[in-house]
Amino acid sequence: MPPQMFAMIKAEVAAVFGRWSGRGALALALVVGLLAVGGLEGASRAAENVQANGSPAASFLKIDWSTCVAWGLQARNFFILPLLIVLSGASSLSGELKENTLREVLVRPVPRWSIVFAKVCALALLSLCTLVITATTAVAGGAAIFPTEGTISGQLAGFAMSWLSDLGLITMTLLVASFSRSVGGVVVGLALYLGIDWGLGALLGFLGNFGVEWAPVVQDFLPGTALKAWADWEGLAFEPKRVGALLGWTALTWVLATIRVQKMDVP
Amino acid sequence: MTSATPALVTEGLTRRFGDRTAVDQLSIQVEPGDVYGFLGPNGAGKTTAIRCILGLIRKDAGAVSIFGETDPVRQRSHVGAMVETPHFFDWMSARGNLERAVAFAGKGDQSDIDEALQLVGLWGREKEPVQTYSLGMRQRLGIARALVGRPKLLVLDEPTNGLDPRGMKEVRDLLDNLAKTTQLTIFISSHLLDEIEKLCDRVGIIERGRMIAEGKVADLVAGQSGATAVEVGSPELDRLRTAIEHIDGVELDGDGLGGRLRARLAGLDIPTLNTKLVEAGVPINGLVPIEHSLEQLFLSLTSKEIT
Repeated sequence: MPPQMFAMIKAEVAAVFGRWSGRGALALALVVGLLAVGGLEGASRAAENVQANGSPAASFLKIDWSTCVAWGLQARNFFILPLLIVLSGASSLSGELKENTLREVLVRPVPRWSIVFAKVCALALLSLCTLVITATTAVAGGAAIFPTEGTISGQLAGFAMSWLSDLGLITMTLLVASFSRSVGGVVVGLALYLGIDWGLGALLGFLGNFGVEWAPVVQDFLPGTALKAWADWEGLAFEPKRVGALLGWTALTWVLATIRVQKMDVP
Repeated sequence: MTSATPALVTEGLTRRFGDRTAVDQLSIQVEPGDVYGFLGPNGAGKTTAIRCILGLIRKDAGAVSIFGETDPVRQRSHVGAMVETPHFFDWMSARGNLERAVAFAGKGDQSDIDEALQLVGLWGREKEPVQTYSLGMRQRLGIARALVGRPKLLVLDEPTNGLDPRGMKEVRDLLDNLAKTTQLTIFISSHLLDEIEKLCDRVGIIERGRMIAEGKVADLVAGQSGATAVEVGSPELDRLRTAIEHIDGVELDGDGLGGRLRARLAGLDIPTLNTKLVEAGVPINGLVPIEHSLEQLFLSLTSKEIT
């Protein structure tokens, strides 16, 4: 580990948080938290005026802070914020390759793996900040407006697991970015990667329905399924296979991205 | 490590791109404190060699040593580099970009940044985003960035690339100042032969990836030919040409400027040539000695290689 590792991470944090994608992610995290609070408040008012099976629709909708935080968690992991994390990761590697700013750090006395490490740390911090902003806004807003009945431990664990999912997304992004010199190319590449994964998942599900026993087992280990490990937050019922697969894919893509950066020629 | 350890040594440095050998068995030695000019026509392999030296691209063969270090990471702790046009985070201030460079260099602090900014004449503008900078200012900021890690060897690849005459002069003056006032070893590639001649102690000239001449500038320029070269003018060029062909100790060396002929004197001096031409009845309206220059040497060496 180079002695200047902490300074490198600080420098990468300044770069990641200074770009529009980083600032946009932070701003959107706040908006998402506010939307969860405002959305639930709006839904509760609307539900009072709507009848379902002779009862107010509000009786079917649980209006409390735990629902508010759950909405915040779902909204946070809807595609826009993860997309901004992907854009931040892509700008951090392929953007810097394209703009030749990566060259400047590669001529410094640091091993290339430490540059990738610094980028992952900075991006992970960005992801953590977005999660904390959304969670704090949803919890505080929910507590201020709605009854504080029920527990939010599952939701908070879901936020924590979302950070692991984001870490996986970040390392996958960096791996794809190490093969592309355009941010758009990374987004398309990652979409293709996850699209193929989705198609494969659908095929395995189909095979599972026809009694192929190994198909659902393999399906649990696909990267796309692993990235959704956070979705099992209710009752803290996180699926160990999914979490394990997430950690495995994160480690594998991190190592592959590092090897790729280690070997690449930088003009 | 002793003070005699060369600043930079490459031995048999080779890099191929497919069938093309961009750098071919290149061996260079730069002594500490030297200002070394690395010359070559476009596509000769200068930038590829520099990228191999800096570890930006892989080498296919050969070895690089910087102040005796063979480990690439340790090597780079001695080096400050600017490869072609410098690029920055444009939205960041000049100081922000230099702070980033210091962070990755692992050496230097705010006082080094202040000193570098003053040296390159950007003091007072350092808080402005780089996107507001002119090309010349960016180039100077690139040199400042190369300096902030307290390097012992400064590697500059085409530092005046794309600059207008004013920008070129700014960078030239800056490098001149650096060479005179610091103990830095400077390795500079450029097309500006006049500047290189004034700035550098030693030069290496490469062509098609191979070193074709290396040595002290004065020695190379003086030794480019044992003969004195002259340009001879006459209203009767055909008679002049015939006369020169018949005089021993002089040979034609092509056309000169303004309808003159260029000749090399080997064993004759200029007054004797003049006397012999007058005796041959050739009217002479000019006889100008040609001063040897690095540019001449460069052109003669590289054109030989091309043909």
